[in-house]
Amino acid sequence: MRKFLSLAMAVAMLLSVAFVLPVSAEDAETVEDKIVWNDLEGKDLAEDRIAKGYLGSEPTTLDPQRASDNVAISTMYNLYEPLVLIHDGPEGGTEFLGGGAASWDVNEEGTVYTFHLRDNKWWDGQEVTAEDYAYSLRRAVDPATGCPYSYMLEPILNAEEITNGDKDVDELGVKVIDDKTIEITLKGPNATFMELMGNSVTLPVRKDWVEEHGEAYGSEAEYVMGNGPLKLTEWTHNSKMVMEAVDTYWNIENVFFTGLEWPILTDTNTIMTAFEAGEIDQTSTNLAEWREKFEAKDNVIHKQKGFPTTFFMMFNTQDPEGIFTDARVRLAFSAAIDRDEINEVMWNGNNLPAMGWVAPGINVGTINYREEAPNFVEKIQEDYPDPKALLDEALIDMGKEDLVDNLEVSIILGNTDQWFKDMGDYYQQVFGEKLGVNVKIEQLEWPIFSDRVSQGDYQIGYMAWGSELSEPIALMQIHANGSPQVGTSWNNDEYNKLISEAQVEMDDQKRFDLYVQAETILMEEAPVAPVVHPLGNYYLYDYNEGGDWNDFGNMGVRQGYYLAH
Amino acid sequence: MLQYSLKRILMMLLTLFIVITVTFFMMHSIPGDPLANMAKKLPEATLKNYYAKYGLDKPVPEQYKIFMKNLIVEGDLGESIAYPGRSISRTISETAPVSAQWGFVSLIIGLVIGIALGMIAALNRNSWPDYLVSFIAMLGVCLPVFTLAALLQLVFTLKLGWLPSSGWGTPAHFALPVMASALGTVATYARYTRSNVLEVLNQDYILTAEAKGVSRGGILTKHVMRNAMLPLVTMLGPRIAAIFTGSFLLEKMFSIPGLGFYFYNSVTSRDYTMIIGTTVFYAALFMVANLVVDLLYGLIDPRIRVGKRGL
Repeated sequence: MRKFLSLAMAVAMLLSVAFVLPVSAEDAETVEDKIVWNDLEGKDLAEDRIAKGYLGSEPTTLDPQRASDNVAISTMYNLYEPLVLIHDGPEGGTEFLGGGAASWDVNEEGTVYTFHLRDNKWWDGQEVTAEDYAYSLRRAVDPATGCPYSYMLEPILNAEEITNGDKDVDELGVKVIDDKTIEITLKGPNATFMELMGNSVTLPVRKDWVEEHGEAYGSEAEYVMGNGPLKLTEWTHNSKMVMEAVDTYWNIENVFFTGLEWPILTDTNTIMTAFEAGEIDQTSTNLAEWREKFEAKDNVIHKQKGFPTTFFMMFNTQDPEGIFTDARVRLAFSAAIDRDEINEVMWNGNNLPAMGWVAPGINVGTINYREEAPNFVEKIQEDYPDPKALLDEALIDMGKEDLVDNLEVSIILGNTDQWFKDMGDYYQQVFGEKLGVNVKIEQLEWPIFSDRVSQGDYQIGYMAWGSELSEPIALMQIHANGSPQVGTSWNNDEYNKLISEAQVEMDDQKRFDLYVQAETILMEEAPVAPVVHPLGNYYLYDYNEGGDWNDFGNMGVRQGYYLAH
Repeated sequence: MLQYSLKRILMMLLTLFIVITVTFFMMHSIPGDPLANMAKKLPEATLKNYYAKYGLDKPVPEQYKIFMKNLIVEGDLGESIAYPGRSISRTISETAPVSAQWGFVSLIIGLVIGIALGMIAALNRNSWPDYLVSFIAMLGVCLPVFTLAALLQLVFTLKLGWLPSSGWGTPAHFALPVMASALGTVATYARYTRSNVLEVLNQDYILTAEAKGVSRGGILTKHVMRNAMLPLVTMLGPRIAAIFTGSFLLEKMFSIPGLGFYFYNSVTSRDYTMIIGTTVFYAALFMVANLVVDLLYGLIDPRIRVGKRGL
């Protein structure tokens, strides 16, 4: 069963797509058909085979090329069949399995991938063809579609040019060889391409359905056509979703569940009550009162798990007040944050204090990035034990002596909750004590916050960013080329160069070195100050077994089963 | 009567027009953008297409003209921006009846119990039933609805195991939200009924009736009830309109597929088309409910029967 992030601050940018040890081009030759997802032999299984999960929010749409929220993405993995399935391998690490594709091969340069489709059917019995997958890839990059994740397809030849409106959709590097063979040409070798083929943005849609329903495709149960193991039979917005297993799905014998009935639960108290009452099979919470309750139960299993996400402060490097334009000022603020303390104060010690920008759980090939890379935060704090001296030095150099001990800065927060107010108060106090600055806090609604950031009308902001890929690239790329996505306006030629080199470097160790060099620059220049990486506490009933916990996995209900209980 | 109603309807249309216009320009003047909620920054060309699709690339007065034309000529409220492909009219016509269903049940139950309790309190003034009713009324006013809802879930779902924690579709699903929202109605109406009844009991005509020898039951039903009801009917108009729009908090807590969510969420996510759609709907409903209430007055109180030029 899939899990859902229900972080207090999953503003909108937390999304998970596909975490895997990326198979480098040479060994991605052919993956043998793996049909056994669930080892059910000798197990005393439950008779009731309806999955009892829940959705943590209302999905925006079930159109794979237009959805952008996490819940919609996890839901769609049950409805549509990706070319490649991704999950935790049996001996640890991540494994690619054939999904819509039975096998694939790649040319020597690692630039042309050929996928051989297996026989599979759409819910209405129509045969799935290579054209279906090709149509969906073209649809994703077509600017007319308005696909929020079109940029993810940039590794494919001409995708970027098409998205920017400079080339025609037909020029995409995707070719249908025959009904069951599709060939994808990349613009260069790419370490994360296989992962992309399991990503929700590449899920297939049927051309005739999209054309018939137009804008409404994916908005209601009757406007969705898929080729995955479950068929959507009911979608009562903001209330409930019902799915039934499809007999014609290629590996339906190996799917334990015969359907699912998931309530859409958005209220924390209701979710906890539903879990305690046994209405749902698992939940997650960091609230002490519920944790104690669940941990005292014999039939509940506790599981702790980190997210490939970073919570961070960001600085406007084009600060109109001319303060945060100096890297030393930013660094002084970053060094003044005690990550262990804020983790205790604001999260009851439930998160991981940040060590650098890249979150834990991210790998470079087989190298666990965070374990091997230096602890940058510790280094900053050792190098600058007195951040105030660093700040004062910078102010004096900038000719702003009058601001020493007299500096006023503002922090904007994109949430109007009490929790965020407390966090603002915390920073106010910390920066006041350690740097002698007067901090003004502004709590804004998310759309206003987002507006102010993109217009560069702020000094310090606070955000979260989740990685979409198992490689550091997804997190590192957002700071490249002027940082248009985070809005710090930071631009560093050396950093940009390292990132573009890393993107095409196929050797794991060399790629790792490039990322470390880039992260060194990022942490010293400090356009952002990583604070913590979120950690989730999951509780599941002991009958709920075998589910996949891969951060970037896409197995959905294909994997997992219930024991008799 | 007919003339009065026609006049009122014309006034309503004018008011509706003003409400739409003011909302439209106010909504566009608040900072923020409906596409800000998209997880990532869209490429320039895609963004352009987006703005063009929803007409957001045009100046606001131009957008206003297009919106009004669609609304008047085709009766079309457009499509949600936050939930691509969902028609506003369909959303309202599917969710408002859901809100109305449980809201109506809750209102009726709240009304009946509230009025009954208010009567009992007034007739037993300054004795224990009066104090008990005052206590219930204070509780209903003070206790936040989400606390009450959580309490009900604790008792009926966890402790007793009688009712599902949330959901929609069977009569069992009505119980908790109806209970949670009815207490507020009970509280309001018990307090108003009590004070109205006490006021009426002090009137001279009650004394007259008693002197005439009308029975106690007769005084209560014919004189007290009828006069005490009037202010209660006034309060009913906005309440009826409100049940169609649902309660955001309770619908969220109980996963009820009502309109409450869209009302609240459209504003925070700057879903322009949904904001204006729900506002038009609510404004129209509010005015119709008030019209009905005004007409009801005449039935209850001949003194304010409309359309006749009396003294």
